Amino acid sequence: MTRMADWKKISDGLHTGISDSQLAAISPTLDGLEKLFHPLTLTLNPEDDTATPFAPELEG
Amino acid sequence: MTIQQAGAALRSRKTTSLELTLGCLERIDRLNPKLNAFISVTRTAAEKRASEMDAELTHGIDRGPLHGIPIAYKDLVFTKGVRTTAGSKLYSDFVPDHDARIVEQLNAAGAVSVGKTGLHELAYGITSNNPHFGPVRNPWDPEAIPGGSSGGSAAAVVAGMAFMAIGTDTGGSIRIPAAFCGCVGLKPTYGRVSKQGVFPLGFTLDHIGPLAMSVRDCALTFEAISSARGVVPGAVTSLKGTRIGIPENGFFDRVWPEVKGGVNMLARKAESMGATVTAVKLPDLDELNVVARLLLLAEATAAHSSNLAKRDMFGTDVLALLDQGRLISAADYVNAQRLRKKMTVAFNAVWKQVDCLIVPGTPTAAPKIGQDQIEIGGVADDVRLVTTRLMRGINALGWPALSLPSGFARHRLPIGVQILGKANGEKTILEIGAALEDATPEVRKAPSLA
Repeated sequence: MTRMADWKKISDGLHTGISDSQLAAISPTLDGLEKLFHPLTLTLNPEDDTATPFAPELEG
Repeated sequence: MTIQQAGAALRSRKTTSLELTLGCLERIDRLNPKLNAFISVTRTAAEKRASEMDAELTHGIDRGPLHGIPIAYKDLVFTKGVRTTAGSKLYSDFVPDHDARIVEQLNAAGAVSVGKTGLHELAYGITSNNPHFGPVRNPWDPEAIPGGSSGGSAAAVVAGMAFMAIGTDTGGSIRIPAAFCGCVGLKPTYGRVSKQGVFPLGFTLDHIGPLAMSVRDCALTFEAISSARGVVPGAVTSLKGTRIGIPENGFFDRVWPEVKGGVNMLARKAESMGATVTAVKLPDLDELNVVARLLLLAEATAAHSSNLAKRDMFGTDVLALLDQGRLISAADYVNAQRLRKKMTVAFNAVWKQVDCLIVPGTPTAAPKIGQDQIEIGGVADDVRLVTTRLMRGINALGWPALSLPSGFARHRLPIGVQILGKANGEKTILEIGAALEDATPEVRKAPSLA
């Protein structure tokens, strides 16, 4: 079961104009991505920032 | 013939830039109807430019290794006065009034552009099966994809239509076509090559680099389009003192055995040349890929936000990705950047142990045009996710990556490996790549093109 209804609410709120059929098509992918992504955000600490512009040569 | 070989022939007066250029144009005339590697061919301008480069050489003016060499640009690189479509219906008539920075640099280096190569629509995909300009086809099998998004650039160099072609790489778009078509591709460190005048896809993930038929040709092009100097390898007969890592996790779980065999073969070769090869443990690649996917969805939608209402101007697959990006929250995007930074530090720890990593390129050889699923170990999976799985995260890390042919898989289709280095470590990976290239001539073959 996808979170189609939630994605539709977000889509309507942003006035994207994305059709229901397109939302139905992309919902499983978004659900899958969200399921994988949100647990990762729980590992973030307050000091994990993006303040430095991304520059790999400055890291590690 | 490589750029270095062509350059030697030019300087010994065995050929001219005009002859090299006419040779490429003849192959374009003959093969482009079959491969669809080019969207635009700039014949008249190329002939004029080649004659000018010949005249300069005659008068003792030598701009360096790319002087008089026929090249091509992926058709999202701005070229003054030459149509630049980005593979999109939106830009089918767009003619830039200025050159991209890399075009200025390659012009200054004496290169001769023969045209603009085909790509996945807006560079947002890995098949180069373009709904507006037709599918680019793989020179090894016209029914197979060349990979993407720089599919036309890879097909062009492998088919001898250009000695080098510029590509871009946001989630594997140089390395995937290099692996599928059997050429070399270099994704430099993030930020080392200017993106000015190149259509964006992922603002913090886009990289620009060359595809060519040898490591040294990629290296000399990299020098021409960056501030890097002294990175073109000479003769590398020993790898003594070089520490090569092979990841024990993440990179070999879901790949064809032929691909794994290619990595092992090159690792053994490196060992026989004096390198030490050790197993290393990396942080979770799949987690890095999740972060990179989310970043790209948001950034690509931002890049094309002004056109999103023109829905009939996009192909189905690209529109689906752009729509997904519209539903990513700002908080998730910022948190993805925070995670990226944290993960980059964790991944960078590996450089305390080794100088480079050798990993598979694409997990499989090229699928057929229109094929959505591909089987690995009896399990079918989505072609796009499979093909980008070992590439996408590297864009988030910003590491330089060299895609090098490693032989052939089933159906006689090419496969490749990636040699990964630390940020600004191009010299190291190019030297190792050149050594392995020299030591394995059997993996470099040309497709038979009637």
